[in-house]
Amino acid sequence: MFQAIVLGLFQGATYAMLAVGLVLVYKGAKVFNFAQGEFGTLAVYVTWCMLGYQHLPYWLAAVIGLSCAVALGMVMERLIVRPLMGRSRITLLVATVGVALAVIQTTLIVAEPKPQNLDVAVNGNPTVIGQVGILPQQWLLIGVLAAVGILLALFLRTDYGHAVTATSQDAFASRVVGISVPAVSRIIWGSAGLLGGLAGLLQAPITGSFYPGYLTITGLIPAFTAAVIGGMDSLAGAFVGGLAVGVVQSVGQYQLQLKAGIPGGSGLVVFAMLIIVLMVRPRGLLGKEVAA
Amino acid sequence: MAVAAQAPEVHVIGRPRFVVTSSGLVGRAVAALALALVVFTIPLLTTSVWDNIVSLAAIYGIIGLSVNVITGYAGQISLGHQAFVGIGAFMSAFVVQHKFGFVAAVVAASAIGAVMALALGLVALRIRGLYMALVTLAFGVMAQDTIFNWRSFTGGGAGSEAPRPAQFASNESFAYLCLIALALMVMVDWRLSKSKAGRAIVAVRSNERVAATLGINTTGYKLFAFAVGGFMAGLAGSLFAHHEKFVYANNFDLFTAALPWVIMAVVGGLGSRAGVVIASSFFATFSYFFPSAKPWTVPFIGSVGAQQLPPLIGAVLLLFTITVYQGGLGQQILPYRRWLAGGRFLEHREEALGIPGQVLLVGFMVPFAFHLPWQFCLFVGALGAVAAGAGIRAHVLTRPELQRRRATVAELEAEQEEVEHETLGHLPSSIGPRPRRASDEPTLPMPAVPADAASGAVATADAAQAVEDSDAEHAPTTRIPAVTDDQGETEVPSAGDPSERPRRELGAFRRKRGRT
Repeated sequence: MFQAIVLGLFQGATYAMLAVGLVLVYKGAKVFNFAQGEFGTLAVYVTWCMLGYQHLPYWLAAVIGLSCAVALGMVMERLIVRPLMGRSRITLLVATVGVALAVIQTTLIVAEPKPQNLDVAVNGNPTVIGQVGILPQQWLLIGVLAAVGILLALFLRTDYGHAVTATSQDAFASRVVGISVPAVSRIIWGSAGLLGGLAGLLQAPITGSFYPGYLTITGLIPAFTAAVIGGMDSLAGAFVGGLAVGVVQSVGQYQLQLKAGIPGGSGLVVFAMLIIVLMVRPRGLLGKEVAA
Repeated sequence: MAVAAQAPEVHVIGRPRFVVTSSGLVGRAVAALALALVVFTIPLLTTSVWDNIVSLAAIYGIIGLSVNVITGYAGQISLGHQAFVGIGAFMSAFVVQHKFGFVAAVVAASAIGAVMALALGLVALRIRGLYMALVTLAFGVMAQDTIFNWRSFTGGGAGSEAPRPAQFASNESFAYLCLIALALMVMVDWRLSKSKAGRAIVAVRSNERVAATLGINTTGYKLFAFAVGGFMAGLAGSLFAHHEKFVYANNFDLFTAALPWVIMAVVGGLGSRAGVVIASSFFATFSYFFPSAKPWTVPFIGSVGAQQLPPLIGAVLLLFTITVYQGGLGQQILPYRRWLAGGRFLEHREEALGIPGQVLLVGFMVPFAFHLPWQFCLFVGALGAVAAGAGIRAHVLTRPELQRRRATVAELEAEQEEVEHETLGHLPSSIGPRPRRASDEPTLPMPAVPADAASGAVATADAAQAVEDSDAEHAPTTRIPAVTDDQGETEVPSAGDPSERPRRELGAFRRKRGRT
């Protein structure tokens, strides 16, 4: 049980990273981004390709992978999101689903549909916390998550950060005072791509293998649940929600799937969590408004 | 989107109402009969393997209709449709295995599909919009992981056997069963959309509060829409189970089932019955059109298995539909449908301009289905498109009623521009009204409104209209925001600008549009 909680906390770090990207996009564009997981998968595939075929050093391969994720975010913003800006949010949501599917199918075609392995970024012996071995990669994941939190908090205090906040509150008024809304939108989607890429790149070596669409399949619904629990417009809430979902999912998997023998126990628990939060407290733990 | 396309026809003043001639009626009847005959003789003409593909196309058609009821009519995006179809499939297999017979299996499958959708509909009463999309997604994945892997019900990973009944054992007879089921469901959908219930469901989607003030039972009709959609999905699932003869949980995966189903409904044009059915059967079959023996060589990528390409094409089609062709397939086939129903073939210039593209697509697809080389198919398609374009340019675009209609819209837009400029002209150009660019003008040379159009309008305008127009002339000039409807057209509410010449015609036009 204790092991399940510790493991869940580390798993939750990935969800938190994805959830922060989701919340950022929601604040900026008022849309649920179903392609968030694909930023990560793309980064992982590009990095893996650069390591395996081009034999680049790890850091360079990772940087190239992350820039591809950022580029995907920006291209998506330019080609899909901006032309659809005035349309209904459901339309935008279906469009992001389309982008996710297109990226998944492209990776399926370019890379083979079999699972691959990515090396860990840092080697070393696992540290043991109460019978659970924690890999250095997992510490790295937590560290990067903390750094992302601090950097985001600092970023929101700069002029650019204020511009992002202002645009998310009232796009028209921001335009009147001279903020370039397209530029802000680009920043938001670029950073969402970066966050998704980081989540994928740090998570893939921990799970051991990756395949086309793996982060969308394993991480998207928990990440959305985390964002909803935190309140869709609260960045701090996304961190808390991510860790909470990780722990609950891990405990659910342990109690339901392994002990009671119910198939898909972890998904069941996350679904229950989502429904309960939406029914009881639709604005989440730290959220201010109820999204529609 | 396409619901607007189904709205009653708009009659511009000064134009006679279209009445179909008796020879035209005969032609339409012959065309409709030929179409029905072709669809229902396909299983007879094709081989047994293709009979199976026809069944699958019909089953996908039913699934598309089911998505259309929940997403198109009731406006609830359903990303978890594999739950409804899957539960129907497994229930059907379960009932047949327990020797209750095929009819009982189909009934039970449809019922449990409806019940499951109803349960999700209860959630939709509290949760709306984007959150509901999220809930359906999580629900579908949950059903796929938990319910479909429940060993005593579905056989776990080993799958569940669903034998066909003796009278539908052959592929050909099963294809007819599926086609008849599809025809029945199209009928149900048609009657639904024409009934009070159908109009109420669409009203609840458009604006729940207004619908409630009109005395519509919003809760009841929302749940009813979910139940009808779930019923269709369960039926499709049952047919799918017996079509495959073995059901596995893997058949109802998010990426191979639920998302493509939403995509095919959107590409077909939500709310358009014919468009959704055609797009769905296209999505079911088009992977079989690719010659699967040899892998394709794609530039920069290398060799690609033919089966991998169709899902990518589906996703790209979706993005195109959303960003460029907003009405989807339903919008594209509207002229043909209207013609078959006894109306005019073309109503707008825009419809005429879309035809070469359609000819290109069909001209490419038909030879491609017979596995001819794609260069040849492209050549045939392009040739047809050029011919169609030339024909349209020579004969159709010169027809006065099409031009007049376009010219009226252009005038309305010019008027709107002027009003905006008057009220916002003092603002700096960076945030003020955008100056009109050359690219805004219609690309084809547009003749001015013929004089008889204006006089015709005056002749037919009644006294009440004249009074209303004179009121409008004295109204203070205010900025009126443009209202954008679902099709992306800009409609201009009546703007009071005294210096316009053909005021009466515009007023009549506006009133007509506003009323419909």
